Amino acid sequence: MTGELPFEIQAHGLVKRFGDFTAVRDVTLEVPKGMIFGFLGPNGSGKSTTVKMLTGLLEPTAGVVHVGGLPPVPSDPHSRRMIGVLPEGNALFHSLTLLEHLRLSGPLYGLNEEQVESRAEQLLKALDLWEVRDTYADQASYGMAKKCSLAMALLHNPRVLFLDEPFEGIDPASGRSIKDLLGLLATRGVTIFLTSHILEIAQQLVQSFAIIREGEIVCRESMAEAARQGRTIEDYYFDHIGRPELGEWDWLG
Amino acid sequence: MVGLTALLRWQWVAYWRRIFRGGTAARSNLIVLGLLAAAGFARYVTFLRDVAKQLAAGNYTMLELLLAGLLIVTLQPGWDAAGLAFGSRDMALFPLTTPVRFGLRVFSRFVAPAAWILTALCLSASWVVAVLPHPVQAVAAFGLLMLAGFAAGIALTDFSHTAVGSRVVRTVLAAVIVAAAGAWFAGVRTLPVLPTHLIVLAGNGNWLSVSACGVMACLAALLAFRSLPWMLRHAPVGERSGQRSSARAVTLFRRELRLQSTFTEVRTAWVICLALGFYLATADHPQPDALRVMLGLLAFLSCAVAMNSFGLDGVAGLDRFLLWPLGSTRIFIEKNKAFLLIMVGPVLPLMALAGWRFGWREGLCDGLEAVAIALSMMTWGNIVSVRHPENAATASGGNVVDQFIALAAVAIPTAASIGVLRAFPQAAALPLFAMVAAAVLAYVGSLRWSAGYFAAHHEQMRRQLT
Repeated sequence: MTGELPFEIQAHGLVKRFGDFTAVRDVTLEVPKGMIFGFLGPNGSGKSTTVKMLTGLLEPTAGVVHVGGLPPVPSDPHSRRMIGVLPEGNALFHSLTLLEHLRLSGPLYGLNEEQVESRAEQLLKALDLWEVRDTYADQASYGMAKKCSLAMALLHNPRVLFLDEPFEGIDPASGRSIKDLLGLLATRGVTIFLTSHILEIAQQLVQSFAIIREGEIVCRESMAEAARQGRTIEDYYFDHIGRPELGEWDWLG
Repeated sequence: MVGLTALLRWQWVAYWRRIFRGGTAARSNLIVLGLLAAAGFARYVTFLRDVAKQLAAGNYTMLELLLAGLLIVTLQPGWDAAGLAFGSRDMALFPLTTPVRFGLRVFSRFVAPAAWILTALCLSASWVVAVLPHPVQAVAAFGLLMLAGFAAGIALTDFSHTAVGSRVVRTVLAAVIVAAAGAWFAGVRTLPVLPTHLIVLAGNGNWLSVSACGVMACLAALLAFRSLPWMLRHAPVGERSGQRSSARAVTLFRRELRLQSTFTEVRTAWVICLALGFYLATADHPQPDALRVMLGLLAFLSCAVAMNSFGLDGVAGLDRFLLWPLGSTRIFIEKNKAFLLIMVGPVLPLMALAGWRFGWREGLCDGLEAVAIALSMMTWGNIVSVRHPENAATASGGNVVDQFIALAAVAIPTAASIGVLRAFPQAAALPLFAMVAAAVLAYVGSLRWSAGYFAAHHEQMRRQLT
């Protein structure tokens, strides 16, 4: 049943309220299989909240979500196995080393020891973490923790990937490896939903994007259409988000 | 010094704001702590009277114990920074002089009520110390030694921030506590090897002892003053260290085991188990009731683990549990398995010792008591853990009712076991088996309820853990 759906990620009328504050308003998204979709916006615009609803970490106040044809319910192991998530904050355990995170995670997805060891080595080497694999998560740098969390998201070969700010705090060499890896995954039919502040990377990577501001989607475009109009993601971004006036800085410098 | 005053003011504001913004749980913790502290202090005053009576009769045993206890509390590294908004390492980037950093370090301790309690304990103990034949020398030596302990505690905390230092401090402290507790249980009632013995000597007119305490206080203060810059140099903020080989497979159970065993209370319980084992093995006439009561005490110490099982995971851990393809029942089972091992594992050798000293029936009954207590704690612990998850770094507990029920979860099986063992000394095993069976049933019920609650309310738990 799930294979017949045209869209891997479907969200209709998503709303999330925290008390009186509405973090996400009426967000509707459809991402087809094998697409890299960029979800862009300034700090506090609702990107991470949307990702949390799409991955089942938060329940929408209103609206419907389907990922791979299933609602992303934490208690449903089928929906969990289908997705890989790089969450906001990385969700690592302080008492485990980077390699131990993969060794713990793999068997929970049904991988045997041999698969876990070979995939973990391959991922950690590709992400330049192999030399520091025995570092505890709470002693790892932010970029190392981010890459470890990304390796955990990829380890079980998910059908849909959700990456919240995957390039934040990542060194250029690893950033390049991640870009290549995501490109390869997309060509193999994996659907990727990523949020990012780094517009240059989004420009190179995504096939379609949406811009969210104050919880509402204010722009949605495909890269093919943007190219046809001769515009970049940055053009769209500043059209819809703008930027603060700098003003006078007499006291500085 | 204006900088120091301002920093301390912000430290105070941030600490108490956190307590009062923490919602019901944090405030309830404060109420429960206040009540327990008041009750404990009342008992302490009674104890001081007993010490004074013993002193009047020329017996120094209880005084030595009191002084050693106070010194250990002042030495305890780590307790000073608990819950403070900004510690010394957080201030590393600010342009502060070493004296200001040192002042912040010392006076920040008094932002938290723990330091007020310790000060009250020391001040009231000085009344007993003054009962000694030469009160001026005794009180002076006592004050200087407590200051030395306080300063040495600061230096130890700094030292323990480095990987090697941490291991050394933990090992030495554990060895000292085991040796002291073991000596006490084995009947050694004077502790001339401890520096606190100097107070007794000073109280008998020995000025050299007062001088020795003064020298120790000066050296410890100097050490504390120098330790902060040393720590910032050797263990700077964000330093990566402590790489360790990880050849063994990691399972959820092992992860839980590693996590739960980091609780200071759990480690203290292990140290007490060691001392208790020493007592059972070496005492001439060990008392069976001592073991039974201590089982309850060990359980009380482990309360923080059982009643707040998501506390050390925090939001990051909870998110990971939600992202993994796990049923919620399994999460609880893995956590409970680890708790059971942590709680019952160290007690099992004690059961064997009890069997050896008091007979196999006694050992079996004590074992059943331990299992019943552990099950009772997990039964209520799972419920409290999902209803009131609290980030262990900032708070723990629940509301007042939950906390008292948690205390009852430990006290009832302990008291019931002791009652059964006293009422039916020859036939206690059967009622204790029945108690364990009832505890198993209650545990299964709580497991199902907690797993269901977790699946339905994980978002609320997330908010509470934030």
